[in-house]
Amino acid sequence: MTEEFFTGNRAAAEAAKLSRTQVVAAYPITPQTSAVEYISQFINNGEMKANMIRVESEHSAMSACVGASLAGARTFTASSSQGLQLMSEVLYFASGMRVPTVMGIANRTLSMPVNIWADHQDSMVNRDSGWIQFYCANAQEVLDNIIQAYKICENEKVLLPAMVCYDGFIISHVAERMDVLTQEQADMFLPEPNGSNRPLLDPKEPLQFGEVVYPDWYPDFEYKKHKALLESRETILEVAREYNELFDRSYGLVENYLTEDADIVFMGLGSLTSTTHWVVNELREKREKVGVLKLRVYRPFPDKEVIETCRNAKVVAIIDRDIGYGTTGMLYPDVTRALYPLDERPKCLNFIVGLGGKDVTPETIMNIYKISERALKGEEVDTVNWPDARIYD
Amino acid sequence: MAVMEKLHEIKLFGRGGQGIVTAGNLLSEAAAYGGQYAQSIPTFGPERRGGPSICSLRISDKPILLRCAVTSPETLCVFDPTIWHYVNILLGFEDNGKMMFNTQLSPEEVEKVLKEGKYGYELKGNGYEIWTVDATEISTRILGRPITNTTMLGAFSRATGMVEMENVRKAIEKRFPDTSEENFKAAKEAFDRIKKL
Repeated sequence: MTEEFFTGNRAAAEAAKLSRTQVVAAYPITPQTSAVEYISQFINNGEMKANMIRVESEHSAMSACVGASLAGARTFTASSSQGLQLMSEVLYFASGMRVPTVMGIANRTLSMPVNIWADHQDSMVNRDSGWIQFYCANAQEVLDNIIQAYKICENEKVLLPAMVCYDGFIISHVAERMDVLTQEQADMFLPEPNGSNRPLLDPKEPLQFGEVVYPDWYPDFEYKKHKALLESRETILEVAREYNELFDRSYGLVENYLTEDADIVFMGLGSLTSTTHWVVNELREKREKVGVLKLRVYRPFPDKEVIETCRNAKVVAIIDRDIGYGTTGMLYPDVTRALYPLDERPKCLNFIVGLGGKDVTPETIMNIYKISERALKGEEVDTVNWPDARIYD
Repeated sequence: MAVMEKLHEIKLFGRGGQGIVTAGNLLSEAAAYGGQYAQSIPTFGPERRGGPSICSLRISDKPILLRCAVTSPETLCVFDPTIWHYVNILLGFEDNGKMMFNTQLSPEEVEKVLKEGKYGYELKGNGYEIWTVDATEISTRILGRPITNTTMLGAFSRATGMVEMENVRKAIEKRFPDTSEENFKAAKEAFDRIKKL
């Protein structure tokens, strides 16, 4: 393990290198990140043996990853925002053809109005594409999640693609201290890719991928894909245990902090959970019973863990850095659905914050706390709140 | 070096093209070499040469949980001689904090200008420290160009004690292997010459 001072993008590139990724396909201009720029430098320096395919769009980038993956290669790409949207069609091809590719996403909003800054809109609207989704709170998690993602995705019980999401700029461009595995350590954890546990494109034994499936059989395919994603939770946990044993860094589907006796549980994805953790420390010093639940994995949705954490809470503050226009934030209904079967449900509030890069500060989280505290005391409060927006009613 | 007992929040001010983001990274890296945790957060946006460039920096003896820009800095480091004429550098500044300026003015002259509110914002209180050094002159003479991002690292080290010069040297060597000697020389001269109010 070496101590380094890297940005999230650099961490993603290092992870792709340590994973001995063989094919990287990327579209090299905005909204691309420096992750693939670092990778092309690694290849140029001879530090990484991979083919870099410079494609003409993100749609082609994902298509190239799918093709190379079907030929047995370990593949990587990175994108965000409008780039991810252009890729959207092929995301479903990747999961439908059960391709174990991994993608880094420096989360950024979707225009219009034009905005290049962080929120989760881009990956959240693709949450139902059949991909595993990880959300990171710092550069260390970007590295660890990408390396683990390959091991999870390539497991024959899973064979699905994964997105490793990290907040644009707030993680992607912030340099911080982190520990990087050596190549020997990475090799010990992640065996060389060989594709031997799945059907591959091979001229000697031709197979057809992406064929037509008529209605009578279509639900069967969909069910299998859905079931594989649901059941991938066990593999995610297994791989996390193995990673922890080797490198002493602990991961689960979620991360609980002081939630056990908490009356108010804050819940969210990505870097804002780290700032929330800080606020929880401040509030605990004033003997307020609060905790934070960070979802590391959003797909498959960790129902069991969310229920376990929230069943004894009185208020759950669900923080969305995205908005499902016309309904609520996108995390909110996942949580309320998971908690619905409980006989005694906590009050679930939704907070839409940090859209288009609005800084999520300790003050933002304190405003969420104040509203949640009013609900805790039995006051009527709005279900969906926009604490950092100017509301012109 | 003083024992770090708390989270230090710092803001760096300069202009696009002056390497302010690099300065933030170098300072964080130097702090990390000293066994501390550090984080450098640029203000993000379409950068343009000459426009304001601001970087938030946190240094702590514990892992840093906050993931947002610094809003109440206790330390300011101003890399450009005139950026503070246009940008309110004192926004959220804690009265008893430290300020370092790259300027030909003396610390007394800077204090007078800030107290008078000449640029539309006023310095209040009296617990602060003002340090000045003509980093542009040092950089131009030693590096051949008026880019002060490495020179001011020396000023920062001397005024705050948060990073050791030996670790500044290591960070510079890693980032600029070919020109590390001159860059460190400029930083060292700023360290030696900076004056305090």
